Amino acid sequence: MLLSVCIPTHDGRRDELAHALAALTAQLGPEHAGDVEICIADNDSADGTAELVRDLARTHRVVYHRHDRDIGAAANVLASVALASGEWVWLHSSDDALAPGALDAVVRRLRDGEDELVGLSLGRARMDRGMRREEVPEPAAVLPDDPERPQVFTDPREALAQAGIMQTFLTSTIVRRAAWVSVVAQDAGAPQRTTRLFPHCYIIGRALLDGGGAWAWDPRKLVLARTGNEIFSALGGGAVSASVEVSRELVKLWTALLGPRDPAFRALCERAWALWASPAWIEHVKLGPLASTAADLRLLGLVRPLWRLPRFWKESVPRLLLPHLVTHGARSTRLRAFRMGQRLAGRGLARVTTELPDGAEVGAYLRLRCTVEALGAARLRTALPHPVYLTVDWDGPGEGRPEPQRLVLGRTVRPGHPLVMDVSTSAPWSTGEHVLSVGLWQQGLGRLDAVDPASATRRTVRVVEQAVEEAPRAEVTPSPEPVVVAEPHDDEHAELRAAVARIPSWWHSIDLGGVVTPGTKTPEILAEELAALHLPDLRGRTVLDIGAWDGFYSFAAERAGAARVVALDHLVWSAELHAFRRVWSRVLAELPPGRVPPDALDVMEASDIWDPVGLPGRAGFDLAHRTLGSTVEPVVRDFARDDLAPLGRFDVVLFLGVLYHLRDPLGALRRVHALCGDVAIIETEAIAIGGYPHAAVAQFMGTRKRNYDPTNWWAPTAAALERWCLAAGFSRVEHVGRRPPEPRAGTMSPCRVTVHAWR
Amino acid sequence: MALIRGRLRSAAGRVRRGLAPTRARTRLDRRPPDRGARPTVSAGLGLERLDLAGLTVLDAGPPDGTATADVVVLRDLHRAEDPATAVFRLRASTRVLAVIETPATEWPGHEERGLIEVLPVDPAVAAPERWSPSADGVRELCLAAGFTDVRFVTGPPAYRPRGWRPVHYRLVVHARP
Repeated sequence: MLLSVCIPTHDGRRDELAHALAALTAQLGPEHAGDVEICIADNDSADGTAELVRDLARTHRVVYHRHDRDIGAAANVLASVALASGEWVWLHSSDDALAPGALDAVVRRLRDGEDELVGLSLGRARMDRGMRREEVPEPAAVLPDDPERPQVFTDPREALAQAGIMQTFLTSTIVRRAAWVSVVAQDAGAPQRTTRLFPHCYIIGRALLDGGGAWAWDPRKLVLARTGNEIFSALGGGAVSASVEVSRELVKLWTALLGPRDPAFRALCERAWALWASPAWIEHVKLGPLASTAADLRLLGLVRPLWRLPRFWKESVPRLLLPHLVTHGARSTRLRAFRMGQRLAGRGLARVTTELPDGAEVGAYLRLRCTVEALGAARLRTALPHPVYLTVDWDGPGEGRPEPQRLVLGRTVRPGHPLVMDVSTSAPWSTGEHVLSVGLWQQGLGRLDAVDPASATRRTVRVVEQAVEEAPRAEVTPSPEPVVVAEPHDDEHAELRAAVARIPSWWHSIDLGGVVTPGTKTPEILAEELAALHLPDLRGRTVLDIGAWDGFYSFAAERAGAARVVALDHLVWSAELHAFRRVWSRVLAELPPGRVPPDALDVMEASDIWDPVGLPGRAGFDLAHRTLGSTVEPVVRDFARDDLAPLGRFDVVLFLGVLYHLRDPLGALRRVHALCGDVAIIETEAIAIGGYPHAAVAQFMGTRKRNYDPTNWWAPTAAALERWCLAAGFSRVEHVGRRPPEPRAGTMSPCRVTVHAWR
Repeated sequence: MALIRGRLRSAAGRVRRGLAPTRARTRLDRRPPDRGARPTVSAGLGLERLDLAGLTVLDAGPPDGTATADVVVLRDLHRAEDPATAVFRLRASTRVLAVIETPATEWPGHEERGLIEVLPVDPAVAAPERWSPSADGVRELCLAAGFTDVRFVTGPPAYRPRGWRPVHYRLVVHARP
C-alpha cells in the first residue's frame, strides 16, 4: 500500500465528508487499486456518517473506526493515522477536498521515489463555504519564503521555519508513516502532552529533528480548503479568543521542539507576528464593531509571546497602547480638540494606479498591485477621525459579484512616499462586461473619486466562462440543478419527475411513490430526525404541524393514523427560498460598512418576491399533497402575529425547527401552549456551554447569526428551553432524543434539543 | 512586564489615596457608586458626565414606542416578557441616547457569546425577573435593534481569571443610534 488518506471526522460533518469523499473517489481509478486506501476515524457522529461510509466501502477500500465517545479533534487525528497501513499518510480534514488531478499528482510523485523525505506540504486554494470559488488569498506568512517554487528543505530547522505553519493545516500535509510511527513509539503521550491542538505537528517536527530526512514544498494548489467554518466557536468564541488559543499552542509547540533561543523559533514567531500582531490586524480588533476591554486584554494575551521581536515593539505596541475607549470617544463625539486628521477635498490630492486585467474567467482569483500616492500637501491617514481606505468594487450585470472591499492602508501615505498594496479579489460569477474600480474612501467624506477622478482606477473587464480544462472541477462542486433521486429510465414516473424538477427548491425529501423529492434534508437525515422526536401514538388524534414547509412531518403524522392534520405555515410559503437568498445577498451587498443588516423578515415582506396570495413557496407542498392524495389541511397564517384561536386546540402540536427563528421565544411558546390540548413536541437549535452543563441560558444572535441564516435569533440550552416551556404554562417537560453534548469548559457546542411539553 | 505591573499598581494606589485626577478615578473605580449622594435620575447611570441641558429625559419602564425622547432610560429589561422587542422599541423611542440599567450575569469563559440567562418564573409574583443578560447579550440586543454605538458605563467586572462561577453584577449601558 503506497498511500493512506486519513480522514478524522466528527458529528455534524456528514455533508462535508460526503463532498470530500466524492472529490477523492472521483480521482480513484483501477490504476490505484492496491495503492490507495481511505481511513476514516469517526468521533462518535450520529449524522449518518456510518451509512455514508458503508455505501462507500462497497466500491472502495475503506478502513473505518467509530469511537464510542467524542475523544477530541486532536486525538482523532492520531487515531486516524493509527488505522493506516500505507507507506505514506495523507492527513485529510473532513471538510476539505482534493483539487481535480491532485491524487494522480501526489501518487506519481510518491511512486517516483522520495527516499530522503519525511513528508511534504501541498499548496492550497482557500475556497468559500460552498467550495465553488477561490475566495481568500493565502496569507504570505503561511507560505514558504519563495512560495511559487518547489523546494526541498534538508535542514530540519529550516523546514520547520518555512513550513511550520503550513504543517498545522491537515489536508496539505503528507507524512511518511515510518517516521510518524518511530516518534509515537518513543512516547505515545508526548504529542498531546505538548500541544492540545496540534499533536501531529509535534510528531512531524520531532521526526524532522531526529534526523528522519527532509521536507518538501509543492506549490501547486492540490487541495481545496473550505474557509468560513474555522474552529473559532469551538475554541472559545470570537476570532481573538481563538487566535489566543492557537498562538499559545503554537508557541508551546515550537518552544518544546526548538527552544526559545533558536533562530527557527524566531522565524516562526515572525510569521505569527504577520498573522496576528500586524498593525492592521490590531487596528481591526481594537476599532471593529466588537471592540471591548476584554478584547483588548485578549489581544495582549495573543501578542505576548511575540515580545522578543523588534518589529513587535516598533509597529504593534504603538497600536496596542492606543486605548480603544479614546478612539471610540473620538469617533463618536467628533473631538476637535486637537487635529487628528482632515477631510480631503478638491482635486489633485491623491492618485491610485493599478494594473487591471482586460479579461478574466468566471470566479477567477485576481491579484492587483495598487500604488497609492498623496499629492500636494495632503496626507492619507489611517487614524481616526477621518481614516482613508482603499476600496475595490465590481459593477456590472448579473447577481453574483464579490462584495465591495474596504482595506485599511498599511501606513499613512505622505507626499513623495507612495504605498504599494497587493489586493486580492475574485472575478464576478456571471459573464459579461463588468466594471472593476479601485479607489479611495474616507470616513466622513465617502468616495474620493467623486471629488477627484484621478483617485480611482477603473476598467471594464470582460468576464468569460472557465476554460475547458477547468471542467473537471465541476466533478467536486455540488450541482446547482435539482437532482431527482429516482431510477434514470423509469418512464412511469417521468411526468412526476419533471414536476418535481420544476420546483426551484425542496427542503424535505418526500417519497412520492417512486420519486423522492431532492430536499436539502436527505431521506436519511429526516428518518433520523423523525425517530429522535419519539412521537406518541397519533392514531385518532388531531395534529398541528407549525412551520410545515414541504410537509414531511404532516404527511408522516397522517401516515401514522392521525384523524386530522393541519399544516400551518406562512413565511416560506409566501416567498421562494432561492429568490429570498438572492434578495438577501443584494441587501448585504448594498449595506454601508459597519451597519447591521435589517430584519430579514422585514426585507422579505418589503421585497417583490413576497407573495402571500400566490404562495410560490408552497408549490412543493401542493405537489406532494396532490400526489399522495393527502387530506392534510394547509392553513396560511403567520404563527407569530395572527389570531390562531379559530383553529381550535390540537391533541399534538409539532413545533419543529421554528422556535429559534422567532424573536420572541416566550411569546411563541405561549401560543403553542394555547393551541395544545395534550402534548407539544418542540425541537430547536440549541447550545451547550462548556463548564456549565446545567446553565439555563440562551444565546441571542443579534448580529452573529448561526449558519449565516439571518432569520436565526435564539439558541437556548436544554435547561433554558425547559424554563421557557414552564413559564409558557406547560405543566411538565420531558427531554427526549440525544443528550446534549458536554463541551469542555470555555467552549460551546451547537446542538439540537427536543422536548415533550405536556399541557 | 514587571515594570508595567508595578506602575499599574502604584497608579491604583494613587487612585485609592485620592491623588489621581477625577477622570482617572472615574475610569478605574469600578465599585458601585453611592446612590444616596447623587441625583436620582443619574444615579450610577453615567448621565452626570453628559450635558443634559436642552435634552428631554424619559425615565420609564419598557417604552411602548409611542413617544420619543432625546434620552430614554430603560430599567426593566430583566422583567420584560420579550427583551428583544423591548430593546427594539427602545430604539424607536430614542433620539440621542438610551440608557439601559439591568442586573446582569457574566459566565466566565463565555463573555463573547451574547448569553442571556433565563430565570425561573414564579407565577405568584406580579412582575417577575425573567432574564439576566450578559454584557455581550445586551450589546447584541442593542446592535440588532439598530443602535450603532454601545458602551458599558458600569460593569462588566474587570476581565481577570475569576474561576468558573457565574458573576452577578449591575450593568449600565449607553447606546446611541
